[in-house]
Amino acid sequence: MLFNSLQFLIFFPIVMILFLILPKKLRTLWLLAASIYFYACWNVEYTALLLFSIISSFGGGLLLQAAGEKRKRKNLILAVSLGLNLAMLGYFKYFNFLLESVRKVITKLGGECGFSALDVLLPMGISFFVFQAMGYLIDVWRGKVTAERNFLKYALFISFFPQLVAGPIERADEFLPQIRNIEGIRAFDLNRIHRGTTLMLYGYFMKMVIADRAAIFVDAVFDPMKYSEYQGGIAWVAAILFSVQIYCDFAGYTYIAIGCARAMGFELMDNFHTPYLARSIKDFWARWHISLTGWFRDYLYIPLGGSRKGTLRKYVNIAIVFLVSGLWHGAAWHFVLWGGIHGILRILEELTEKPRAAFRKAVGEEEPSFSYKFFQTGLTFLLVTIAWVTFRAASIGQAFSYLKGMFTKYDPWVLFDGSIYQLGLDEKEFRVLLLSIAVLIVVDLFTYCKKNLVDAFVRQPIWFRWIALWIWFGVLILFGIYGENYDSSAFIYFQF
Amino acid sequence: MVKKIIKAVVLFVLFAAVLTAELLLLNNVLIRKETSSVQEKFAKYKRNSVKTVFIGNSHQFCSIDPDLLYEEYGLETFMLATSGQTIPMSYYAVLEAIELQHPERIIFEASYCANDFRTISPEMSHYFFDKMPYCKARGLALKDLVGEDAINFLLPLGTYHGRWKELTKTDFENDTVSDRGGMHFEKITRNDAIPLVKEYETTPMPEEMEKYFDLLIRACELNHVELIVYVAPFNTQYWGEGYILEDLLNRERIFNYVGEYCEEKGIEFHNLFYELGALDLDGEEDWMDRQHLNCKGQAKFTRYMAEMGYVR
Repeated sequence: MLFNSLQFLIFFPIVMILFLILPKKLRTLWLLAASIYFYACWNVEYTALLLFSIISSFGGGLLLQAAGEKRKRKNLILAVSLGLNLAMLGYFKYFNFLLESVRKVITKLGGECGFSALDVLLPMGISFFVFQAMGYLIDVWRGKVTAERNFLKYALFISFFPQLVAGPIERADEFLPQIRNIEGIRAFDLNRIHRGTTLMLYGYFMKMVIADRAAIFVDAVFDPMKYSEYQGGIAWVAAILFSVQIYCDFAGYTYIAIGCARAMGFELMDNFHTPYLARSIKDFWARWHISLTGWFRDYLYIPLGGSRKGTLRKYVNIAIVFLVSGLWHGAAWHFVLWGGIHGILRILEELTEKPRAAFRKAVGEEEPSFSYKFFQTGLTFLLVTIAWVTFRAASIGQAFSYLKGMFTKYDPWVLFDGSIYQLGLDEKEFRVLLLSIAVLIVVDLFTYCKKNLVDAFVRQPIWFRWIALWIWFGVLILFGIYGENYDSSAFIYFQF
Repeated sequence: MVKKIIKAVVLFVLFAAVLTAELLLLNNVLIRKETSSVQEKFAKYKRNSVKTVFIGNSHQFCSIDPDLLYEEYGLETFMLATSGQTIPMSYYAVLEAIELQHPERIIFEASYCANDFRTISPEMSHYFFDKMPYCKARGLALKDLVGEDAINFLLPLGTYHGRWKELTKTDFENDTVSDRGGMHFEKITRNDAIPLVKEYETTPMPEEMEKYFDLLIRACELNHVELIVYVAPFNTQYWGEGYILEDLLNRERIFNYVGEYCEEKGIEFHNLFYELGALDLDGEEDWMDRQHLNCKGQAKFTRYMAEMGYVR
């Protein structure tokens, strides 16, 4: 079920209203049933995978708790329960990728291979719920949280529908206590409902008005059959618009998810914090997909030794984390390349830290001026945008060819002679897109300056809020991309 | 607490009411008007006040002027024809007409008997459904002809919301058709003489169209509504010969079959292809395009139908 489907617009109010008015003891069961239904709407059979992850991690958690201080036993239980989840993830997400890679190598070496890809569908959101379950198991193993004994509550922790298929990847110590306290949620907290639904509406704006509109242009230019026709200016515009698209697509989903949860009385973690206003790659990853970055930091980077085992080891660890992060995003080499590029940029940042500091001192920028910060932000956005090309391309070959086209063709006039209006978005559509991006930038600037616009909006008098909401609905209805001919490409991050 | 809940519910209802009004307003502006407005006018028409209802497609509304029939002959008629109205759609339009007006007679233009389509395209279906009154016939038609896509017709905003960039003055006006559903087109296109087949040459109409045509006849019989069937003349769609000429001639053979079919059932039928001489249509002035009459040809045709007693 997509957040921007009519089905969800009917599903969510029913779930929320019944959640708030049902006897408190039934709340967990109701939300769990709704969450399972939400997932089953995509594929009933694959609900078994979700249940497998829930059962294996629930059982693993209880056994870890029961093992007390017996280290070896705990390690074995953790290895088995993590292994079960990783095996499921590996089979459904990476097995075909592995087969295909081996097949290519054998073919290149002149051999013949007698195996072909398996006919398996990538389960929606598998990387999200498996990572959430794994995080829980490691936290129980570390003694950071106590194992949940109520199966229904644990099942809801993993399957909570707003964040089930595209995060945020919640932490047990933050989210489980909220599930445990589900009976204590106030039913009629209008302010809370208002804050939640307002955030949802902003998420819908990002997804339907910006991301899906930008996608029309981006898809036309990145079309694997035609991308070689577009180089220079058009390729740059499409790359920049893809940066906008993926941000609005994913952050839009997250805001809808956080808004849904908030309206029902749950607080999910923030997953985005103005990522394109970051001043370095490190800063970017502190603002982009925060829940995943945090997960990799706590459950991969630090266990690998982090920065505690020397400089070289630190760089190796950074490289490993980014390569795994690339692979997490998709079972294809171009995703690995994307992770690798970020890893290299991140290591280069570390390596050049001292020379950069010396340079700043030499030019009198020890305390960076606004223009210096602006330059840093622009450069970071440029690097991130170039890296996104490898993410969006269908293969490494296409990525390199596309990047070559961006840098080798000089044709800035295509921005002015109407050529860009021939790729799915006419002049009026482009104007709407640019205006919407301007709204996005303003909101992000406010957020960057720690001004919470949602809270500020909710504090306004009711007449103002209502008029603003009616206008906002009008904007979504008129300028959103949806309806009869809408290509339901879902949310980009669902595939992960 | 109870007071708080009541206050919240009242506020919510108020907010939702204004939002609904906003949706309806946007819907009204964004929907493609053109011929779909006849459905809206029909819904507003005083119940059981229309004696004769015209049903069919563009050949019908381009040929007959209900306003002229009222002004010159005093006939209370209504034009319920829409662009691309297939025979199955016409069947449901008949049910709609009987449900809302129960007219004495229905005059059906049957040229689409030669088209083997349940629906032509989503756009044409929108012309028929978008402003169709909420009645039993609408529900049946949506279920039968649209099925799973019904939601797009119940909430046409999903289809039309992207029209914001092509809105014109007419989108903010509701009078694209007259109160009796009449439409008048002024454009002039030169037309050639219409080729004709012999009256005895026949080809059966497509099986499914015959099924719906039969349902249409039975609906009129069961409700004691007189049914008059006719076919308005038209030429090949484009200039030229070959396939398109044969296509027209084949259609004419199907119209002859429809005539025989009606005769068997005791239904009044007029094939105006064979009355072209009496109609006296001018190829230089009376056509909007090669298949449809303009307002001048429409007036000529309408008067002929009234004076011959085909329309009454």
